[in-house]
Amino acid sequence: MFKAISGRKQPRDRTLRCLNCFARMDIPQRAERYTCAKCNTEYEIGWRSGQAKILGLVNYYKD
Amino acid sequence: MPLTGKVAVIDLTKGEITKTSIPEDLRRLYLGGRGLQAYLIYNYLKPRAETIGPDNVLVVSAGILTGSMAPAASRTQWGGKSPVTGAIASSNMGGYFGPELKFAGFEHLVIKGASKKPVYLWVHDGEIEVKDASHLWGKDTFETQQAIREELADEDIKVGCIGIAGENLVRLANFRTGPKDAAGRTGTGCIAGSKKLKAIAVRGRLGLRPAYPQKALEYAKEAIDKIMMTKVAKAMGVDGTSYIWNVTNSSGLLEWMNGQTNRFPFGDWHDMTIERFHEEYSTGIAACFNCTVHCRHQFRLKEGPLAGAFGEGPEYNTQTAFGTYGLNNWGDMLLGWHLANLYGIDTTGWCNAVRGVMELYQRGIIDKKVTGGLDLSWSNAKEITPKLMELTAKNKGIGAIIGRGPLGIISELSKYSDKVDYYIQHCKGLGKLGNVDRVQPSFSLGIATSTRGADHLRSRPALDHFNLPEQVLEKLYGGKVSSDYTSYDGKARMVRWHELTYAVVDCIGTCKFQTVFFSPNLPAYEEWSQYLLYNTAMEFTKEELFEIGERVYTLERMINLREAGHTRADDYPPERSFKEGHKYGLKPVRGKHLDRKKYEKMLDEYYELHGWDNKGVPTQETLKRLELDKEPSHIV
Repeated sequence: MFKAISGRKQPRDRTLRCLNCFARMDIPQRAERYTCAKCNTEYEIGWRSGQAKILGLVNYYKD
Repeated sequence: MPLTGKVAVIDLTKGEITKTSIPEDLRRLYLGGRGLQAYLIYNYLKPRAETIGPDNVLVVSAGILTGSMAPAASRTQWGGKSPVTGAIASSNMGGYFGPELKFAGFEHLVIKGASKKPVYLWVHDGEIEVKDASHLWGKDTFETQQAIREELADEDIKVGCIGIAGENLVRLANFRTGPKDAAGRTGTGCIAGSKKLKAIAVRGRLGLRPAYPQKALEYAKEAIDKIMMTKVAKAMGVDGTSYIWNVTNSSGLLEWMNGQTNRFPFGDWHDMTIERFHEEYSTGIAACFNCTVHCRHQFRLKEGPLAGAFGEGPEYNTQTAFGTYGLNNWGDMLLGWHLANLYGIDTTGWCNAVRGVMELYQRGIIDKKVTGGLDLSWSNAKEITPKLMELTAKNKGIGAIIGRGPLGIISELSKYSDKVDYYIQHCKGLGKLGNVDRVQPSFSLGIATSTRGADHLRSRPALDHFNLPEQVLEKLYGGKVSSDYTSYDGKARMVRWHELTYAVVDCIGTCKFQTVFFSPNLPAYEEWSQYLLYNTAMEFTKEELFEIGERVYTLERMINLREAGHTRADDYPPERSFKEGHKYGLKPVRGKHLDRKKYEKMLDEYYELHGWDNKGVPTQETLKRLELDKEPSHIV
């Protein structure tokens, strides 16, 4: 009855998208930083109930 | 019968109350909630009525499923003619008020006329009484709610009320319920204040009978399981809507200092994150009626004049709003938020007005003679917030100018410079949010064409931020839509689809955050059809529901044409969005602003999809197809 458009079965708790190039990023458990392998954007990573989340850019204040 | 909720028309001038059932054919056209609200406004509002005065109406509308087993069916619409914009007032509130209104036997309240002395409505089990509220006049929104509960000796009474801002006819005043919820935008509290209506108290024991109780229950459980499996539900259950802030801030999609920069200029951005809130202020997390996600933060203020006070919220939007003009930590933001809630002021609109006026001060367009001696420098945000909020609520000094909203500020301050209109950023007279719209054509078009003015909750097409495969977008929207959020391709289609879809959600009465707003895996048309069938026995196809959304959106447009004389010129984002790019943020964001030629083309496409002419006026053919050529029909 209830259809998901994407057809995805399970949420990917440790997978994030790079905000710059949209490449998938598989974050190692409990990592606090992660650099996108495709575009080298470096993120501060946080954890919420086992889910990885982007906190911000490491180089936020760099021009 | 599952649909027993009535429409009550309350004339505060004459003290008369009439109660009417809602015919099924009207249901099929408008469902309930925002749909029937638009119908009732169009039918009951005297054309071209003054917004502050007895000829305006305050229409309170619960969704057709509000109070039912459908997940998160908690919502109520509040509206009339906006004292902020002169166009439609329309604001959606969560919490527990709407379900209780339904349990009391009513679905819609049309409040017209004006009382000579302060009153409140006591709505309970099929009855409505107009009661004296002289003793409540002057109380804040928290005190008012509790005082009514004590007076009527029932702690389960739900109260919607105005604070002193509404009493003082501040145009940015809102209607509030509980510790957090508000019909925040478009000045509903001002409409109530002009009618001397302090509050509406509701209590019901009549219940709601689903058409097919077992199926309604089973389907609700199935839907909840699916909702709770999504990543977004998990995120919301911990961080609330503030989970978005880190992403938008990282991308450079938040604006500070009234859109002068997209990089946080007031200190360390870490102090603004929801993580800091958790560390320092969070005391729990709560939910609206029948919601399993739980996204309402709870907190206690630690310091300052209100230390120890309990509050709920704020949402991402308010977190953004207070940050944009210089509050750089949660303690100051929560104080601003809590004061706004006590006074009954729209935080989004107020913060927009404040940051606009602060930029005028920064540029020397206004000085301390205009501000009453207040230093409106960005670095002085913490000091001026309580004072400015109080002045606004009391409708005095510079606060009286801020409280009028964008159109009032422009009218009042343009004598100092012809640039005021450029720095006070709004669409249709409603203040713009703190998000960057200028690099996202879909977002720009959405806030510009929104029937109530600059606002994301009418159409926010966030799905082009997820880089979804374009086949998914095509399947959803019924045509090609680019997955690049900086592209114009297909975005008119996307915005229109979201406008109509959110209109349907607001008619049904469920929470937008449990729809395709955030994820294509959350409930949409097919699920809503099932909710409606099991709870009301009414059958709707996806196409029929979509057409209801179209009818409601077009009727709101008709209200704006009639009341505010809107034209194509009112469907543009602020001029700044066409002229200035931002220096910071990620690569897709830097240096970009809207392209006027492409925007015009997108707007033409948008009108065509809606069946409106190139001035944004619905064609006779469209009105006929949607059966709007018969309005106002005065059926109810």
